[in-house]
Amino acid sequence: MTRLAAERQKGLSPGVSLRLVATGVGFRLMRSGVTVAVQALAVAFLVYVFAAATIDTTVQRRAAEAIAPYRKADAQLTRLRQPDTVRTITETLQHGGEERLAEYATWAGLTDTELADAKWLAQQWHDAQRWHESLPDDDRVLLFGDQPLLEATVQLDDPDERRRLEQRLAERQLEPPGGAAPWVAFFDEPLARLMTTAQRIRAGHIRALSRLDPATMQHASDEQASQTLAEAGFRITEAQLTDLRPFAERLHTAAAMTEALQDPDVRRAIARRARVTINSVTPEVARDVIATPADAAWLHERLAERNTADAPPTADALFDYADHARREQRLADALPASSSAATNEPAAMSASTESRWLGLPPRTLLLIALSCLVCVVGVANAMTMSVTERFSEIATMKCLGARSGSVMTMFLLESAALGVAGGVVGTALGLALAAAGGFVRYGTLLAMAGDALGTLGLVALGALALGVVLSVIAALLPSWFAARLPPIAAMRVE
Amino acid sequence: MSNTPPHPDQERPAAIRTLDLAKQYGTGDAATHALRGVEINFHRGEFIAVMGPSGSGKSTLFNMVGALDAPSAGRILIDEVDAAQLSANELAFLRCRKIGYIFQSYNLVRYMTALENVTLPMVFAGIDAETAHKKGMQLLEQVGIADRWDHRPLELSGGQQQRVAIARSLANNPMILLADEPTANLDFKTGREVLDLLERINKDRQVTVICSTHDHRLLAMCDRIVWVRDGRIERIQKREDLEITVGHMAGEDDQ
Repeated sequence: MTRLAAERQKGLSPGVSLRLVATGVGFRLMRSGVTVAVQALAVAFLVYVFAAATIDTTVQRRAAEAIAPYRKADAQLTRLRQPDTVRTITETLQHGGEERLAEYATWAGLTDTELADAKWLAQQWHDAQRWHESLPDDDRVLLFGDQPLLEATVQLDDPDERRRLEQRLAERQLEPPGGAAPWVAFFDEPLARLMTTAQRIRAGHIRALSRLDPATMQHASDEQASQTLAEAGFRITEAQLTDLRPFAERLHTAAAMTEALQDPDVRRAIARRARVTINSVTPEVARDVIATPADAAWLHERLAERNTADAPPTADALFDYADHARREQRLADALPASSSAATNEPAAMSASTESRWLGLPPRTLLLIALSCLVCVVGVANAMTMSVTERFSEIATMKCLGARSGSVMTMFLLESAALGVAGGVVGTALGLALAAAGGFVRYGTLLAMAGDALGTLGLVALGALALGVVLSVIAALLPSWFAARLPPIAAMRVE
Repeated sequence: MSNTPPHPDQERPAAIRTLDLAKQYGTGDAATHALRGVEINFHRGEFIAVMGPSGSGKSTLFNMVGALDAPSAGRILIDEVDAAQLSANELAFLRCRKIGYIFQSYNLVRYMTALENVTLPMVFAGIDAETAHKKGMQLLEQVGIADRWDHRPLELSGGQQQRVAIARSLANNPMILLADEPTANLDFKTGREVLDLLERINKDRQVTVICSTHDHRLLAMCDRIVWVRDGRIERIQKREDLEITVGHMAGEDDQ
């Protein structure tokens, strides 16, 4: 027989396919509520994890920047009030700035060679401590006991002890940086030399501090104070001193207030105001009582009622102190515990970010993978149900001239539409949750995350795209089943 | 009960011809022979009722004629094109433009309005939206429910749904209308209206209507009745030969 008029049915254009899928999409989306919900939850989780991480990083970076002046002023003021500890001195020798080292050299009367030697020793000591910390716990305890390295190595001035430690290191196949013998030898004379130098510096610092009179410094002009400090060997410029003034003022106010808390009347007044028992009144409680300038005025009056030689801090000073102390506290609270101890060791940061991917710990990544899987399975299940439910509809469409490809396209598009719906809802939900979580953790400091709006937008877009891709992947198999359905299935009567 | 030879009415061109059509399901001893060599001509503009008990092969024949199922042996020529030799896309083209389907359970797309259902075959045929819209409204007008064009199937009665389905089947001006028990789900009066509609379409448009049915009222309006039994054409009756029987049956229906 001839094949008269045997023409091929043409496929649908993308626009027409879209229009068909858009037909009654509201009706179908309502029926697909569960699918959309599953998808929304998966996307929400994804967005939440990334958005929360972004918010954390940004707020913490900004908080670290904002707290830096406080920390720096604290360090400066501490240096002007107390001698550095040996520990601080060795750390400063290892990574401190030129000015601090020049101060040390002046106080201890170190020559350039001696200073260079001290710096080198401090570096060795630092490296030795790092290696000691990096050892596995059982090795460390076995070799050095459960105590700091300095105490653990006291007996190493004995050559026999040193030989024994070298042997034990060799037995456990541990190789300190630079080799076992030099490493162990460091704990004999070199470490003693470093400690001697540190003690000399400390003694010099104490002598320098003895030339400063706090009361005079408090009221001296910047020029006078700067001159006194220079004579005592401190390297601090007049400008730096001007910057330090408000911090010193607050420190003074805090000291005066703490001192005033010895007075039972003041304690009682503050206890009543803060609604706590008299025994639990601490400087922090007193600080938090000063919430407004009016509170500061009230406390000033209470302090003024006392008969003391010193004039009490003014209301303005009290409020300024409390306001800044709270702000510093908030910033410090926002920082992770490791960096809030004022160590400037960048190595500590990189150690905790090891074995991470996209800045997230493996457990969270596993959860993300699981939520994506749940999303795929959920959508695949919903699409399979949707296909099964619509067998006769699909077959009817094929009777009406739909090609298999057109049916497949329509189902994939529909699933993509579900993906978009779920993605939008999920992204909104995830962002809202991340913002809420951020507010709980950082309070008003959350505004600092404003810097990361661009990144958050990218996270949202990425999650949306992922939601759509996941749901299309999940719909591939059900769509293929739908496309394969013979038109004769339309004849079946339900 | 031998094969009935093709109808000798040669001056009318055939819409569908079958040549020694056979269909079996399964193989060997387990094989079921649904059709055992059917030769029949359906002419253009004819109104045909296909009747037969369940399991007679009526549905199988019906599906073959509608290019919904492929024969095991023999040929089925729809408008002189051998349906068994067509590719999937060519079959889709054929179903889209040559044949209109009317189903027992209407098979309207639930989430589409009446008008959207009617224009659907035109969308598949690549007709632009505006033309399809206009023609869809005309068709709804012809089946008498133009005022309900924006209602979804769930908001329509059975008879109204079947009218939409009939309008849809006419969308691409098919040569053949295949109606599978179109009145089975309808009450007496609505069934009557649907049958009248089919008859009017047959007369006005000269469309070949092939109707599988148990509804004996149809016998009064069709040109020929094909009785199928045991996978074979048992007999073909012209309506003229049937008047008395129909009258009797119509009397039964009128109770």
